[in-house]
Amino acid sequence: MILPAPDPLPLPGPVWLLKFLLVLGWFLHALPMYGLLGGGLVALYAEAAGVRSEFHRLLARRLWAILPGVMGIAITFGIVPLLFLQVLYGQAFFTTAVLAAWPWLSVIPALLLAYYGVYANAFWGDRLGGWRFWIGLGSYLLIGWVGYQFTNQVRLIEQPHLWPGLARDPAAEGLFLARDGASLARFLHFFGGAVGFAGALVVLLAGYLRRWREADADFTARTARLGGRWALVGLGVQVAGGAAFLRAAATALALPPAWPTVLLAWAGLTALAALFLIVGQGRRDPLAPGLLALLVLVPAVALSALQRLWLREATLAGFLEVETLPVAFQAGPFLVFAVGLVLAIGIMSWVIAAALAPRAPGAPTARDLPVARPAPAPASTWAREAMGRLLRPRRRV
Amino acid sequence: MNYPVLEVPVLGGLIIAIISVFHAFFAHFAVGGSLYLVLTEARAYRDGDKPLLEYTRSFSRIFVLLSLVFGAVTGVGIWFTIGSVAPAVTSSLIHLFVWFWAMEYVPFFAEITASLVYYYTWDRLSPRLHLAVGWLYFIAAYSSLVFINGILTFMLTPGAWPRTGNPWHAWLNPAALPSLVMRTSVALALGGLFGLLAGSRLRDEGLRRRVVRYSATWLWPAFVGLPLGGLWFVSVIPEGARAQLLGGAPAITIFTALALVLSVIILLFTYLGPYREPGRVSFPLALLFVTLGLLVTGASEWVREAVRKPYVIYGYMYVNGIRPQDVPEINRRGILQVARWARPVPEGDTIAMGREVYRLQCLSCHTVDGYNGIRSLVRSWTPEFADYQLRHLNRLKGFMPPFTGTEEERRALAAYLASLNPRPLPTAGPAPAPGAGGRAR
Repeated sequence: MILPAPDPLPLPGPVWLLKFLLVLGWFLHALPMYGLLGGGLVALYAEAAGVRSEFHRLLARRLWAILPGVMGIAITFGIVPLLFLQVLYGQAFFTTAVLAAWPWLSVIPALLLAYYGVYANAFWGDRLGGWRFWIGLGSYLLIGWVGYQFTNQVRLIEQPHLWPGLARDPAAEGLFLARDGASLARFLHFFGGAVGFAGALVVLLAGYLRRWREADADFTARTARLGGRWALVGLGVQVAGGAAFLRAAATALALPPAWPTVLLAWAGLTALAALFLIVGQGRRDPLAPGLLALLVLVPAVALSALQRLWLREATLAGFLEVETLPVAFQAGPFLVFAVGLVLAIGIMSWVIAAALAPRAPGAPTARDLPVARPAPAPASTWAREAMGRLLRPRRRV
Repeated sequence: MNYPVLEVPVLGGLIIAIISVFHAFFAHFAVGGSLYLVLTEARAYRDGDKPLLEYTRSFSRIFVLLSLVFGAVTGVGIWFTIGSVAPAVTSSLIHLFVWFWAMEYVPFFAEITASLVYYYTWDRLSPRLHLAVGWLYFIAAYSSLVFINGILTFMLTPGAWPRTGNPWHAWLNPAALPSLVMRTSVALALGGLFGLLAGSRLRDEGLRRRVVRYSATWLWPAFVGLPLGGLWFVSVIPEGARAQLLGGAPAITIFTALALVLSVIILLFTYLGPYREPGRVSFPLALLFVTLGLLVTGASEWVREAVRKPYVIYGYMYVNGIRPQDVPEINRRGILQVARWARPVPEGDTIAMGREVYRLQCLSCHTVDGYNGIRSLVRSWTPEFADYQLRHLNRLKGFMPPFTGTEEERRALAAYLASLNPRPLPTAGPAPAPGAGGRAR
């Protein structure tokens, strides 16, 4: 096995801090990414069923309208884990980014095409007619391809014994994931998790539509039932995929002592979410079960992020151990970043809260013009006069 | 050298430039356009101009379409591409600037959030609150530009960092401010150009004239900012880079001139057309202005990258990922020994050895037959002439790093380069002197 030498520059922060930010970043990326991957599937299903059912058609329309924003957030939030993965595990990350470069780089056009497909369905859906389903399907397959490539890359980082073979013959080994049962199980685990999380989000959406009186009781009840069912199926797949992956790839690893506790906590939270969703199936107001399911699923995703880190450390133990790398903490830049982050989170929370707050009936919106006031005449200065003469279009003779 | 090498057929290192140009174009547009949106909205409220308000609302949709995801995806695309094509420099930049990239990420996150809220809440927020979100959107977008600008200029003017190792010295480097002046002007101009494009599609004749003329005024700051910032920028860059810009490397000078001429054309014709005759501006004409803007971005970003050569981080790392301070050891031990991912070479196979040396040292800039294709560059070179060139590479071609490796490796590379254009079998008559073809050239 060949490992590139560490970068001549030291790590810019303590390893624990960089690891914390890597885990936090992945967690924040996973939430919208799950929403996109799972929500896209539910939207696609609703679109297909919408040929015969008005309810499904309307639901698909609502879901398509949300997805471009979710996709934008998922992509943006993906930058953080990538940043800290590169700084901590760059020796492995850059190596695999070169060895499996073409499938890895295909993520970029795939994301662009997928986004514009989703965008077309969201904003020009009415004009697209029957094409909506096929555009949605194409976008969804591309989004799935991106997810597949990310699993591929992460698995490749964790299997340095495959690297020399890839270096000799990249074309033959480039899509090794298809032959690797553990990687497929891992992909299935995350895919199931995405569908489970997005299903719970659909239940929550139904709850808010009811609260905002933007849809009737029948529509919200049916939406909640549909979301809950998708969520239950997804969570089932997630648990099965995770179990298969651990059996195939993690039995021989020296995992930290806290691993069983975290695994148990994750399973407990997932089971609790499933329970809330089952109970919510029969309720008139889906807001509470949807919120509760998400409240337990969000920490479960955070535990997943931690488990990913531990798995990577266990598989790379003795080969790439980041604790041994030199550190020179850039305290000043870190502090500026931390203060800026807190400030931005505060301001953006206020912005989002203002956007979601119920609107008083008849209150003016940004599309309404305020009562016109006569504008004060601009003070005339010699500079304004001169610029006006210079730039004013000449009158035609 | 430390990492495996990616062979990009046809495009070579140009693949980074292509993605970067599109990213730079839309990222600048996002900055200028966000200010355009919020000021136009404020103007509509102030003047009680309902059609202008509706235009602003529809223009904000283009933002979601173009800047938000296209900007973000191409930004991530640059990360992906430089990590695969130039891993050594990416690793060094990440180690030095991880907190600055994190700082840049904070306003970027705020920008995305604010832009989505801005777009989705035209029917929910009050005019005052909506404007406040718009201002936050612009402030976030501009802050993001400020952070990334310092990282980009560091690569050309590392300032005091090589001596002090202080990351603030690296970020607040000599070219940071002049570059920011230029980028701000470009951002405002691109905001105006896209406003022009959107305005030219309006059906209401009166509104169209007003929007087109108003959008044209967004290009005026570039009249001042670009020449001033440009002169300032040229005055602070390293002597070697300035020499290349001012005639030392003809391609760089030509691209610089192209960027200048196109900028003048855009500014002049925006004044003569959209500003003075707003009623006569059609969509194709507006599209032409935007396309010229893309060409200017392409040419100037290419120049920015090219003047750094032979370095990728000036004075710290050559464009092929080799650090000047590692050169003596590589010359002693040989690049095939030092490079961890060098492929095994059959014993005594000089051409195979030369090909491997080429892969490790030259692929970052050259392809064989595509962009900057080496085959055509070394046409009619003999092994002797190629070896002479390699011995004096950095002196004969100032924009190229020196050859690094043992004498045997250099001769092998020379043999490989000469073998790319097999010479025809000699016909009857006196044989030419060895190396005559190359020297004659």
